[in-house]
Amino acid sequence: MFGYVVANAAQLSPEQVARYRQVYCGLCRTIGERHGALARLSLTYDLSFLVLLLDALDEPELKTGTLRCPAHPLRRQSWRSSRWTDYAADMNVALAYHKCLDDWRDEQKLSCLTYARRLRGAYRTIRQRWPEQCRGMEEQLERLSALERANSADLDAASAAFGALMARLLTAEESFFAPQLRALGEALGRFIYVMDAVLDEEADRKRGRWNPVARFRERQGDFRARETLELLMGEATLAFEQLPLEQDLDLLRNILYSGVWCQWVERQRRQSRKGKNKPERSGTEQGEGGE
Amino acid sequence: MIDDPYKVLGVTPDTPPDEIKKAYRRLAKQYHPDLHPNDPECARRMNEINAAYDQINNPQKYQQPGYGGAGHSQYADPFSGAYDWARRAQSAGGDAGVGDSPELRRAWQLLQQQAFQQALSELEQVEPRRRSARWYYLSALANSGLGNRILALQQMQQAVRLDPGNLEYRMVLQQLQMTGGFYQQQSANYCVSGTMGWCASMFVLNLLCNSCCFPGGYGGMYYC
Repeated sequence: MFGYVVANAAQLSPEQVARYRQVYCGLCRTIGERHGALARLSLTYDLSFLVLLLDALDEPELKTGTLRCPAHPLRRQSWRSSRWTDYAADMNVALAYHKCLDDWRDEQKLSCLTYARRLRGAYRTIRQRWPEQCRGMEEQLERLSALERANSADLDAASAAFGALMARLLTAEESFFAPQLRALGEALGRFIYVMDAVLDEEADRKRGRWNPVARFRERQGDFRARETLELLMGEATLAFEQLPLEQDLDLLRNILYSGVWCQWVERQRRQSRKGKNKPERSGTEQGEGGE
Repeated sequence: MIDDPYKVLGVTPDTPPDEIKKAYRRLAKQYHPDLHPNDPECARRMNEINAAYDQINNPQKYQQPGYGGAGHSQYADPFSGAYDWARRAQSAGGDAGVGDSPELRRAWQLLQQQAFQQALSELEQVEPRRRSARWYYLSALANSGLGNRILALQQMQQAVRLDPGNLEYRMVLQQLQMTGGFYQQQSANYCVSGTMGWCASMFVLNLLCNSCCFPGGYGGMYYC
């Protein structure tokens, strides 16, 4: 469910790449400081977006520095962090913990169970610090499990559960702009969920695993992935553009208007290389309204 | 409601949205409560700045209670229960269709009252093989009211497919597709050079730290 909310390098200048990496490095560093080196393995790009977003809205004090990173040994890396980096670091580990448990349940991968056990202590600490967010994760993931057990075709309900999870993540504080953040979180969460299900559809079908997009397609006879995903991002960006942001606005827009499609583009290219290219019909190509 | 929200922010109705954001930030830097703790005047000013900004972005929210401005405000969310589908459909000439079965007639009445879940229950009683374009249209409206945007879009497309000459159905479909269409345009504006595949982008960003290209994997030992 992660790795979607990333930047699209095709659109970024070297200066912008440097700024994006600064946030990413800062997040990695903070995870390591707060939860240990092993927790760093759980780092996701999506939470760099969270840091950029909340930093832009709040404009808190930023700490900066450089460090030596074993993954990038040739040059010292520049990092930046704020109170939102601390928050995102905690959320990152909490989400990773749940994902591991999920993978263990679904695929019986021992490495996941082991990792989850290692993160359990950290998760307990995080849960005390951020009870709303962690409770939100637990509730929504339980909702998703229930839908899975029922072999549900209700793609709206499933995506809304993840949407609710994201909305909770984005609203750590009740600020004036919490409603817009909530709306952004809900829409972005729905998008991530549906995109993930779309990209996993074939693999899930082969393995006989529940896939709500496949179930929706069976029940309704059709599913237009691209159009649906554009609708969801449309809702997300409508809420986003209401926020009074200036700092890193370019990076945030890059992520929301193109970066979120990177995996989709990747898949299309792989399929066309294999000669299986089935072009997705978008609303405009249909000629059925929505020009 | 503020008389002149633009004046509060030092902008005009012609100011581009990004400049309005910058104006907000300039003022927020001056009056932010963190910079002036326990200063009631600063707190009051900050509230005013927030309210002015909100009013500029959401004019319909401040116009009248229970706005029913369906169709002319781009911020009216067609998937919220507050969006007055029944009134909108009526004003466009939609009403209880001639030849509607009892279930469809009852569903229509429930939609008028914004009782979306009940309308759906009514509609579920129609067997799948008897589901007409009108059935899909009413279902789409009910699902829309409940926030089931994915199903609503799918059903409205089905309604148009089954009755391509029906202008009302086409107009409502356009409304549901508006947000996605707007996003497509904005995407094109911000992403002129196109989008890279994921692996390529990560390579350029030099962010592949822990592990590289597992099939479908992306960094971190548990992403397998």
